[in-house]
Amino acid sequence: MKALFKTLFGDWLNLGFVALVMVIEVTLVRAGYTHQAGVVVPAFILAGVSWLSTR
Amino acid sequence: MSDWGIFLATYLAATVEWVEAFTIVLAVSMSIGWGRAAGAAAAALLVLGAMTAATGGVLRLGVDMHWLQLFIGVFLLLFGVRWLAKAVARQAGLKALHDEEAEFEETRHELERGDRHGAWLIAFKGVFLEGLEVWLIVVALGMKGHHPAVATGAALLALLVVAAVGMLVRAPLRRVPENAIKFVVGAMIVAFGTFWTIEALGGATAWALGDWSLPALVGFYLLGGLSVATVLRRRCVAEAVS
Repeated sequence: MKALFKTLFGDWLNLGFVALVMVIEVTLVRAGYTHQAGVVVPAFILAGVSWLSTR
Repeated sequence: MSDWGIFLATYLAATVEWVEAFTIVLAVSMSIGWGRAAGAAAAALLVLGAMTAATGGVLRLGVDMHWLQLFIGVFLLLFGVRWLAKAVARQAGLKALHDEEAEFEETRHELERGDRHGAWLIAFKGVFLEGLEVWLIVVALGMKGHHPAVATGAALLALLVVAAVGMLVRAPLRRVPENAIKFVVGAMIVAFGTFWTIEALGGATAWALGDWSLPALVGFYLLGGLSVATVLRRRCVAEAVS
C-alpha cells in the first residue's frame, strides 16, 4: 500500500504542495484574477519545485 | 494539443518507466528463468491493460468535462512536480543519478534471500508499479485530449522498443539518458497540469494566449528548471569549497 501511495501521490510534501497550488488557483479564480493566475501559479510551482528538489 | 505532443510525452515517460521495469524483470530472470519472469511481467501488463480499458469506459459515462479536466490536471501536477523536482535535484548534483546497474544488483541481492514464489511477485510488483505511472499518463493525456489510441499506442511502442532492445543486450539499459528525459517530460506534465487545472476553474478564456499558452508553459518550466538546477549546483560547489 505504501508503494502504491508513493506511485500515485509521491510523498506528503509533494501532496501538500500540490494541495496548496490548488488552494491558490481556486482563490485567484474565485476572486476574478483568472488571467493573473496564469502568471502567478507557474511562478509559484517553479519555486515549489526548487524547494522540493532540496528536500 | 496535437497528436504528436501527446505521443511524444507519453512515449518518453513510458520509456523511462519500462526501462526501470525491465531491470527488475532481468534481475528476477536470473533467479527463476526468463519464462517465469516474463510470465510475471505479462500478468502485470494484463492487469494494467484491463485497468486502462476500464478507466476509459468509466470516463465516458457522462462525467462532467470540467470536473474530469480538474481531476486529471491535479494528478498531472502530483506526478509532474515530483518528476521535475527529482530531475532538478539530479541535475544540480543534490541527488545521485538513477543507476540501473545498482537497481539490478539490489534486486538480485533481495532475491538471494527469497523463494521462487517471492521472485515472481517481485517481477509482478515491479512491472505493475512502474506501469501504474504509465497508466496514469495514458489516461490523463489520452482521455483529456480525446486521443486514447494515440497515448496507448505510444506507451505500447515504448514497451516494444524497450523489450526488444533489452532482449538483445540482456543487460540493464544504462545508456538511456533517463534524467534528461525526466526533465523534459516533467516540464511537459507540469505544464499540462497547470494549463488544465486553471482552464477547468476559470473557463475556456482563462489563458490569455489560448492553446499557445501550453508550449509557453513547457518552455517556462524547462528553462526555469534548468536555471534552478544551475543555481543549486553553484551553491553546492560554493558550500563545498568554503
